[in-house]
Amino acid sequence: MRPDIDLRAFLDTRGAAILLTLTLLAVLGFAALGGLLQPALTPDGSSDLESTVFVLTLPLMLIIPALTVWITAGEWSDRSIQTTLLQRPGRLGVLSSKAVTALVVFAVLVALTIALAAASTWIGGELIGQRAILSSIEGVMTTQLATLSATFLFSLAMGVLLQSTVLGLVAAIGVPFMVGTAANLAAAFGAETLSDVVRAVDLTSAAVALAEGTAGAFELLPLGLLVVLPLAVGARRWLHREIG
Amino acid sequence: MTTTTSPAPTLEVRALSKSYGARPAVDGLSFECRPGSVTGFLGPNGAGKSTTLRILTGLAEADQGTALIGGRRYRELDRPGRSIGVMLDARALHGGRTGIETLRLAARTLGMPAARAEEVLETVGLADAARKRVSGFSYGMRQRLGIGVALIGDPSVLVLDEPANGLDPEGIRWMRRLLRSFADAGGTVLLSSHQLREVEATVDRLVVVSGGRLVREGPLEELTAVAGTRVTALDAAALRRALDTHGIAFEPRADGELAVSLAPEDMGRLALRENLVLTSLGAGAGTGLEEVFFSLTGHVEPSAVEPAPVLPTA
Repeated sequence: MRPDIDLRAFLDTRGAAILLTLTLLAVLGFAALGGLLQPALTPDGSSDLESTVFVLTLPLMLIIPALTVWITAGEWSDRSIQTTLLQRPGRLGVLSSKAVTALVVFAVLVALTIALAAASTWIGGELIGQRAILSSIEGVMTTQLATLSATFLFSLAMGVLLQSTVLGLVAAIGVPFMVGTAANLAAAFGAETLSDVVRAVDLTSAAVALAEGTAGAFELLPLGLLVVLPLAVGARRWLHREIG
Repeated sequence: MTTTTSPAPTLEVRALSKSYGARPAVDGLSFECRPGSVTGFLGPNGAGKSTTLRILTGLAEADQGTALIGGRRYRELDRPGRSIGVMLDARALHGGRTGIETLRLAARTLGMPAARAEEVLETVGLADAARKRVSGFSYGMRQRLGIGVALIGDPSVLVLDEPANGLDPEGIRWMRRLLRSFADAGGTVLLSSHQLREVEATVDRLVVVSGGRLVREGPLEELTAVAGTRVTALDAAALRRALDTHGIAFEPRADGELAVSLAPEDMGRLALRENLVLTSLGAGAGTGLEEVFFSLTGHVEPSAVEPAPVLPTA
């Protein structure tokens, strides 16, 4: 397993340089938007860390799938997987290595996001507004971090399963959107059966419930259906797929 | 290959079979590539060459049989790039990296010093394009870079698929010299190519496949000698029987003529001994790999059946 090689292989391409620059600009922009503008919008002139991170979650719901699918499936799409596997023929090792690389990039991105959110919240609350609320970090760790982790895991599963940047991105961004829409419709119409079906594939809600410690056995179902099963099928395909 | 501390491994393909659906791509193929030689791997489109190379290099799985490098499967090799350099498809290089980054990454993967990248870039004649992104490379430049990636681990075996594609005449000459010096230093080279003249000028041995099966294997001189003598007889069937009886290779040509792997004088002696009346006998004009290829693979030479294109007159 050589995540250092995969990290370098990801970072030294022009596409990654562009994507990471856009990511940094988006995170900085949304951090400023969330932390600095909050006092002007809240009645007590405060800036709350959880709200800032919530604002930052919006671009991250697109950025995390883009980075994760690119790292795991990008080489299949541009055919450079052939060069990689000729030099590192242990396919399981390459797959594990790419998953670790994606996890490292995700962890760095989330850490940067929370740090920037905390900084902009403090500046917005203490220097521009009336006060900064940083004690809501616990809510960040349960709700926002769980949401982002669910996004990462599903993106990873789609990248490994589909082994195509385009298909992986469409699935990683499209499926959670569809599930969210279906959940809202089920709630609006009060359809219990549909509601149960949606719960079975609502990974974000399951992740939040797990993080809050309120999850039951049912919450493991989305994890199994949307993460474990696609990862297992994708790994099998990864090990045997013909290249050429 | 810069050092020859131990003999290069032999490439062995044993009873290899691979089918896609009902269509066999490779059908019981067996051959060997020995150290110190350049082996040409020839066959028409769809003959199973690329499938064989993909199985040999672990990119595809065989249904039956094995393809081994020094007695081990490719996937079992630790850092295979240190012992076998492979270039199957120059388009598999990432377009977003520069030439030097591509080689540095390969060097790092194989545990080679970073300076090796500059050295190889110089060897493949791309030093001036070091900072250029691969997406801006011509196909010939990509081929050179692909060969560079194959050479980066200083391997003792080279497996190249159509390496001369896209190369200019100077590039082809460079590649020919590279492969020759590689084999002369004790390396093993397996070269798949459609460019018969290039193969003829480069290889020592030939493996000819058609329809996924081995058609002929042996030294280049031996195989090209098959087309060396053209002979016809009053009784063509008796001629064939006589050749079969004596175990002499022959290939049917147009108008009942046979291409025989005997010198003309030996063919004459055989005819005398077997009481055969020959109606023509002589060294075939223009004998060479191209004729051997078309006769062995059952493909008809285009010039023999297709009318020459008519050029518009001014």
